[in-house]
Amino acid sequence: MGGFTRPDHSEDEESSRFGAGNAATRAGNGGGLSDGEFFIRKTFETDVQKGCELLFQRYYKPMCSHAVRFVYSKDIAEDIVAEIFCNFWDNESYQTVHSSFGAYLFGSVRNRCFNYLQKEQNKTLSLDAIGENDPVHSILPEKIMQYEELYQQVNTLVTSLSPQCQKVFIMNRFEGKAGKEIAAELSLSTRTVEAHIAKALSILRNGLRHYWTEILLLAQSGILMKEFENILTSL
Amino acid sequence: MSLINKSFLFEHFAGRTSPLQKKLIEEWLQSEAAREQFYSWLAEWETTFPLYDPELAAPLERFSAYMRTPREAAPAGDLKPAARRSAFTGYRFAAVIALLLAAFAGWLGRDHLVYAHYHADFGKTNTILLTDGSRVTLNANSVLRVPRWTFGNSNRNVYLEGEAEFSVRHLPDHQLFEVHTMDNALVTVLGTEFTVYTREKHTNVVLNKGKVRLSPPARGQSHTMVPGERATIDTGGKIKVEKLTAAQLEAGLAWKQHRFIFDNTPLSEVAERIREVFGVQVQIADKNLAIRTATGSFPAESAEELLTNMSVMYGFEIVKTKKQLQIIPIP
Repeated sequence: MGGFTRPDHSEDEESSRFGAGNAATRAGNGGGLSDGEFFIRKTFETDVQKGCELLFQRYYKPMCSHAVRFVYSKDIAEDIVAEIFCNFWDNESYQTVHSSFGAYLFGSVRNRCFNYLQKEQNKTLSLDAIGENDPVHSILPEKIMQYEELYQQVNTLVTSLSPQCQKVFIMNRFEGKAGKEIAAELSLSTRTVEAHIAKALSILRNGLRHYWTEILLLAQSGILMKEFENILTSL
Repeated sequence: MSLINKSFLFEHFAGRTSPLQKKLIEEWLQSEAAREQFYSWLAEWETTFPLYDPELAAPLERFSAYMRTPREAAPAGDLKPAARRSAFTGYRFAAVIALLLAAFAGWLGRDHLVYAHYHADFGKTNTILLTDGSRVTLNANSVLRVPRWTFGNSNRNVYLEGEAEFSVRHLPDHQLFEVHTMDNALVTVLGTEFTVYTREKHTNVVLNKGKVRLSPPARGQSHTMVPGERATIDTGGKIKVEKLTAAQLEAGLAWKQHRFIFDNTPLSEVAERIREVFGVQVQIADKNLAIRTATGSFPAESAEELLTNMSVMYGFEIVKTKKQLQIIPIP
């Protein structure tokens, strides 16, 4: 990857500037990712493919790390992130994105993880009222805050597992090891390992159930409030 | 100047903010500049405190290869990009399989491996031909599960949630066909035509032709139905049998032509039916309107179409909000 030395260098500069800059003033003058993306934006003007590669180099890792917090599986997270980049290229999203690319990409990761978990939950709980989570929603402040709640909830649930169960679960979801391998490594029976994995998944699913019902209630109370306003204005 | 700064948000990302501080962040996020800043810090936080260290080189190579292939299918003569493309789709395929396996095996237990799921979405019907030659027409918002490996081996078991018409093929070895309903009742068939409705409230079976046996969930008295009957299982598990007229029999199958037939049906029940079939909440705020009854046959493929067709006759207006429809009487 000799061809990519230049952007790497510019990233180094970027991150040092990040560290030193006074955060509050940067927020005030509307800084953020956009100024850091100046070089990438410039590249997009001349070579779109190169621009996409630069974005990938810069954001792929942190995006995967973020996705993992929601889905707690390396494979699923990396698949979600790869899909986002492929769509970004296929739909030529770089032409239509108004925000910085980074904000767009991170917004997409959160949306997709949310939708993924929701679909998983939907199979056991009927939640039609929430509806699809379209990207417009990701700019609503309360929505942004919900995402934090969601992955922190996942984290709390994983932490709540017994140490052995946690270990097995992580070996399975992060090191891609099958039940048998784990059993051999930890000298447990395959059945115990499978029971641990099933337990972890059921704790996750049941633990998140409260989260979804809460969102559902929030969404519905939001509708009621809007209707109330409609009625008031129509009077 | 805002209280919000980088370390404040880093604490927040790590889940160490109080509800009050969250409120502050939420207010701060109102401005677009703040949201940009938010994502910038999020990216930095994920870079500084990653949950794991993903491999970059191989995925980047796959992504570059993906971009090098033309967006439309590559012309046949062009070997190189086609080969690359298949390499990447191969990866995607493998990833999708891995994802599906993880999802199926993990989140769902073995359900999706063991059963083929057939769905009819809201507002749609779906006709399925089973491997034994039996035909099932699913009404909207219904799911039929058929065991993938064992169906037709020695018996034919299917599991229904929702509403479906069955036209069961009689097999040379007289194999039974059994429909399991949501409340664990059982409809046993030899070869015949009948309709099963099984949703939260109750289960009912309408028999058009042939002979079926209906067994209630708790091992109560089972009932052998004759054509033209409708048997309803109530929440207590008891079977109630009614004889239907030809018109009622037809009305029961009207959904196959996307028609709704009502006979002195209160509008509140119409709303319930709309929720089942189209997944749309209909709210009737006015009590007098809710108890008004509707009679007639209304063709409709959407909730709005149905309500619009009814609105003139019953004198109401439809107010559409994002998540539901509301009907209000015209003064």
